[in-house]
Amino acid sequence: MLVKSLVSVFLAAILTENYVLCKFLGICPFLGVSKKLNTAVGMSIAVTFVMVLATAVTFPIYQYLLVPNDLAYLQTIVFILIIAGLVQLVEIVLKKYIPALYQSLGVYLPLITTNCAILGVTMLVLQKVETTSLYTYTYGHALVNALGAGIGFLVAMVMFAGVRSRLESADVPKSLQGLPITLISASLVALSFLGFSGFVDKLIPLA
Amino acid sequence: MRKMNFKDVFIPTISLFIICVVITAALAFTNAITATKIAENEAQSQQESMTIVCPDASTFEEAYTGDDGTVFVGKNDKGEIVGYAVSTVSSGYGGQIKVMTGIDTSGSIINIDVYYNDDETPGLGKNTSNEDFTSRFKGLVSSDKVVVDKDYSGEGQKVDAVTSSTISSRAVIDAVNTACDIYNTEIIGGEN
Amino acid sequence: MAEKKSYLQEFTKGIIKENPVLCLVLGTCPTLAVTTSASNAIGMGVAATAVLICSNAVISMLRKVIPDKVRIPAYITIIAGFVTIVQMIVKAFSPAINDSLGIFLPLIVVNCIILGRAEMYASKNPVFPSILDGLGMGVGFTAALLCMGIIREVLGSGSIFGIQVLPVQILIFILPPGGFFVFGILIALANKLNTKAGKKVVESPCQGCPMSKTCKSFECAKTDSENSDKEVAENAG
Repeated sequence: MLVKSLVSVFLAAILTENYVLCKFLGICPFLGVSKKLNTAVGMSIAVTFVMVLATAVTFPIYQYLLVPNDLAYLQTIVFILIIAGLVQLVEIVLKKYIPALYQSLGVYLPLITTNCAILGVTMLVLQKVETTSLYTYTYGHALVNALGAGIGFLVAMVMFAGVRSRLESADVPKSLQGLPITLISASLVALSFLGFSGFVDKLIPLA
Repeated sequence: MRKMNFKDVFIPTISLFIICVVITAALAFTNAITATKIAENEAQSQQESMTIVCPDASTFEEAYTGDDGTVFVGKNDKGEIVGYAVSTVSSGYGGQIKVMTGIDTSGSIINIDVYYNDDETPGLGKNTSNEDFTSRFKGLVSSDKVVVDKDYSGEGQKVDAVTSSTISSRAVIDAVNTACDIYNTEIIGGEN
Repeated sequence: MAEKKSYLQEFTKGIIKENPVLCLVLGTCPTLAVTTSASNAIGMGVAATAVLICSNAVISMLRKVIPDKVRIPAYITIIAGFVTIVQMIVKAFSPAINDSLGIFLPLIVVNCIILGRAEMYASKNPVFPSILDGLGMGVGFTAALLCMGIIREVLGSGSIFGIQVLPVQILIFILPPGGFFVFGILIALANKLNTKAGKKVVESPCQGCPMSKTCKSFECAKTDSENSDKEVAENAG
């Protein structure tokens, strides 16, 4: 049951609840950094890493520190500061100890603080704790959800980078060139993700 | 390496600290003002919802609170029990769905009210709060499972889902089933 | 008199000339997510405007006190504070709006328009112009959201502000793909008008992004230089 629910959370975060294409979180990097495949992958890996790390820290802080002390209203401010701090910390650590990784991922880190997908994932997961009735939503589920959200971001970015590389050679009407056609292609990619609705529930019936 | 200047480190730290303290104080102050109002709003929306699902009752008393939901006993002006309003939560397509289920003393469903479904897709899952859908539950019995038409295989009581919103409809049905379970174990079971 | 005019300009530039959504392509997440109905769009716009005005005012007031080194964390803290205050007020006095905006109400904190104005305007200008700038940008943001909201609500649910006007509903417009599509078409329109007026067109959201200065070795820088190269080539040709 535990494994089943973990797999279900993971798949749902990638496909049916894709944070970019279904929940509109992290649109800026999705549109801005998806031009080339390697930057898209680098950005997504950095985002995934920070998402898991941020959830790992914010989840216990919220559940065991803020809620028992009636401080839930400090959620936004505490979370954003934790994320900003973590990003700085990761940047410093990478720079000092793993310079090779810093070269490939470090450049994306400053952008991540203001990436709403990170804050969104850490906040939305707390709602799930209250609403999941079929099983208890644990710390593990929250981490798996964050990992799935990151992978979902990666999937969306890679797919979209592919679409955009084909767009380069397409003959686009003048007024639609640039951002407009990018958004219209994004709409078609989002349309394809609509097809996943109900997929995970059918695949892994939990009830 | 350049020697760290005391002023370089101390002043930024202290000013950031002061900003944090001031902001937190402002938040605590606003919270103190708005908290009661927010609680009132929630209580009011619950009250309205209870009146919809159990219209004969004039007062409601909390009879059971658990992880799965809350039961309110509805009494009329004479103090007689006329029904129960059970509030339950389930997870829909986009987030949580909160449902109030009204059950009369004989165990059949008076009415239901989906009082929170704002995370569902507008035009699709959000339609689960329309009377068009909620009225389909009227008169069902609490002793038998309710199932959505797609899952129906001859057992239980069939309810047609909102078009193209099976997941949200199923979530509402789940919440109603949980409500019936609570009713059967806590109210009926408790009396015996 | 001259001063009056410039104040007016501070206010109006955000609405048309530098519209944060349609010209600078900032704050795309809420623009796409909450515009499923016109009333949602207004709720989001007003909430963001309130935060923008307050944070601009405070940051401008403190611009000489906040050390440069910790400027961004200080701004984020101030913005997060106002976002939470606005959230509590909305929750207390208009719970319906709070419910329908959901997670996007607290997410105003990472809306790049707000941090962008703090960094680019309020940190360099006195309080009164900063407030006007915030108000103008906020009104521009609200106007763009409302525009999206009306189009999507009319086509997607056949209504405006909940009042039924069309017998048919093209559901796809209120689903995520419809959001991207309508936004694409609106940007195309804005680009068309901008090119007619002889202005430069934004090609990537990175260009207006307040963080673009910090991410040097990055695509934003590249797109910029590519663009200028292209322009040079075009001018030469």
